[in-house]
Amino acid sequence: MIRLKVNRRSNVLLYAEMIIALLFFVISFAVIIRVFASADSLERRSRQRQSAALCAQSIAEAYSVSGDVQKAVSLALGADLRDFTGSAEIGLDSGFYPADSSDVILRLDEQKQDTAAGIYSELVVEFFDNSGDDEELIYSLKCGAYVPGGAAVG
Amino acid sequence: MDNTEKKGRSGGTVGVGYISIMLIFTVICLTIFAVLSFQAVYSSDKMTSRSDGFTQQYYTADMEAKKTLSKLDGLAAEALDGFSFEDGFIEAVSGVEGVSAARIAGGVRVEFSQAINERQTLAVSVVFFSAPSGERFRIEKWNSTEKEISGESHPSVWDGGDLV
Repeated sequence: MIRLKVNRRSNVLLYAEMIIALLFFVISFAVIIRVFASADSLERRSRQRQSAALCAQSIAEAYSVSGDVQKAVSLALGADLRDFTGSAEIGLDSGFYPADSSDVILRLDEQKQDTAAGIYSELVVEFFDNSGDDEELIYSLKCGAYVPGGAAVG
Repeated sequence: MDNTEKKGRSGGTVGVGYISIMLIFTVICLTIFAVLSFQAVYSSDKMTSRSDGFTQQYYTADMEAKKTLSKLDGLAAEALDGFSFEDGFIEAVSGVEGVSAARIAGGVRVEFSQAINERQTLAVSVVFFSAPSGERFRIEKWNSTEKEISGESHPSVWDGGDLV
């Protein structure tokens, strides 16, 4: 009789400990999962910004050498911009390749200034994240080119 | 005490406390992994931000330098109409802030620099010739250089002078 009572008490203690432990685990796991999730989203955003910066740098470098937006975009992304008239929008996929489904939007805005001896122009390259409800700016770069009558100056 | 009694006492249930110890160990491990992964991502993100910031600073300086170059090319084009290209161009360039010009064989060397950030500058050296547009200048130097660090930032090293 006494042994049975002791066993029952031990089982009750064990169940109580299990319930408390489970509660503790659930609460701490929720916090840990949040930390993992924020690390994952930060990493994804960082990677996206890195890709955007690389693309923008490629476009800027090609633009400052050629002074031609169409050529710069064609060299950097392989996209065709035949009807470019000062500003354009290109849809890109998550790997930053031109695509119909646009996870990322590339906006180009060119301002030309006719100087006495040539043409000085500025290009704004902007990447927007289009995967959410609102467009969010990922990266923006402003670069310039000078075309002295003939070819641009690098 | 017989054998059946011994088995009942020792091998039946998990003791109170083992679950808690295992669980605390698991939670501590998971917390350490989560914090480490977040820290790694955070420092990588910080590095990317700095690199992106530098790229933006560089292209801003590059843009300003090209603006100056276009202004200088315009002055060179105007100097072509004068009696002496070299004299007229040097005189015109003296009015542009931060630009120095010197006569060299066959043309005028113009040098200027554009600050990229507190540590670096974009140093530009261009030679202008008395020639039509497109062949009027040749870029000799267009690169980023470290600014000279002031003497105060170097820690003074004891050379043993006072002891002797």
